[in-house]
Amino acid sequence: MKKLNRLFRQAAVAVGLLVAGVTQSSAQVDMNKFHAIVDWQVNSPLSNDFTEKMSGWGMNFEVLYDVHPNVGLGGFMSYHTNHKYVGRETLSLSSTEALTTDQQRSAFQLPFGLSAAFPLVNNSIAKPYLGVKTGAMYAQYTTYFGTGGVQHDSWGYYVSPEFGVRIHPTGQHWGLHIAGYYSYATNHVQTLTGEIKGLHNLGFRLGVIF
Amino acid sequence: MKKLFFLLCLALGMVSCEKDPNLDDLSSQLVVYTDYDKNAAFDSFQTYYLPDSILLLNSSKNKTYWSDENAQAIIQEVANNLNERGYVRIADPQFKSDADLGVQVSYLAQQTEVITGNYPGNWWNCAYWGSYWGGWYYPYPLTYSYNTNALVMELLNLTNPTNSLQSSNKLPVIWYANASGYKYGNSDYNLDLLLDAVDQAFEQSSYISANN
Repeated sequence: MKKLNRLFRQAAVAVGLLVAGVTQSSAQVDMNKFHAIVDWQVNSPLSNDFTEKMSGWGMNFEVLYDVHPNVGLGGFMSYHTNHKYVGRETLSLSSTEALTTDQQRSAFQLPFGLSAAFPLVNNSIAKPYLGVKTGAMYAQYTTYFGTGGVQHDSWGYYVSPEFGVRIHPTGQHWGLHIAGYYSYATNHVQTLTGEIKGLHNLGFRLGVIF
Repeated sequence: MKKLFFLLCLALGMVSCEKDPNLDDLSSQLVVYTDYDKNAAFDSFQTYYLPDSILLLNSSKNKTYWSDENAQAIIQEVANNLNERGYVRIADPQFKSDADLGVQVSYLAQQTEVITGNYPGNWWNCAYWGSYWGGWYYPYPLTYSYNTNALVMELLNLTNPTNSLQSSNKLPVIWYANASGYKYGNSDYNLDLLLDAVDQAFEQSSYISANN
């Protein structure tokens, strides 16, 4: 857990430094082209039964700079946790081993990296856009059972297309943010019942943009 | 704008955290693990010897045994399961050398003590409060403990020790079962959990049978 907290703090500091760097490094930066996004996130893992249950235990943080009216570039970091309770059953661990237990499964995912957004319309209150995020994915999959459990950490390459809308109700810089996304990461995760190769997710985000 | 970034960084530091699952959802039933020697012919055995006490696993130099009425209930549950599978118990220790199988039942109880530090670095980041205040900690040492127990059952082949082991008087274990979990203060409830675990160990080991 300490390792996870340290990782998160390092990622938070990195994003903070990125933000600070952008603002401090150039007096020519047009702050009207700079956007910071903070989202609440709802996510559901796909294509594996480790924990496919949807949850709202996640956040997304993003900074973007409009290098062109139709192109914004920046960085992001998000995290999410999904849980699933599995009732008591007998698991076959190998050709001779069997284990009877219930399980409380927890999947924690923390991707971070670069993001890009391509606004489709620029002159309206609601500004739809297509976006893509890419970078690294840290995943920690834990199965709690009995008095202990098994845990596995992994790293992988992450990519996530998304479609969203920025809503500026007053025409000012600040506004609301809505986005739906799909993500894929190349992580290989060992669990109590087997290996998961590749992490697929589907979800949406609601938040604010400054 | 700088104020905004400050608030953003502050939010980053305060709100993020892995959400821990509710472990109270987990059953109090013991976790039962079994393994066996796939080369063992369980139907080649007909009799077994089961001692009338349970070996206590502890750090004592001298072997200690558990033999009260709770221990007898566990031993009888093991015997009932073996009898149902067609094996015949040899009860008299005088004739234990005639048994095909030896049954070893062992029990381990232990208390785990946790002491939290009283230094600011010892954060609890992933509890309910972590999502809002960036974690919490005790400014004073906090101690708590929990009790666990484990019941181990083993079947030993007494008829044909392998040549390599014969010289050292070691017997091959052809079946191993381990039932472990929290130990509860109510001894009747705890006994029920242990008896259920004995039944479960045999239920998931259908290959144990004298009549295959």
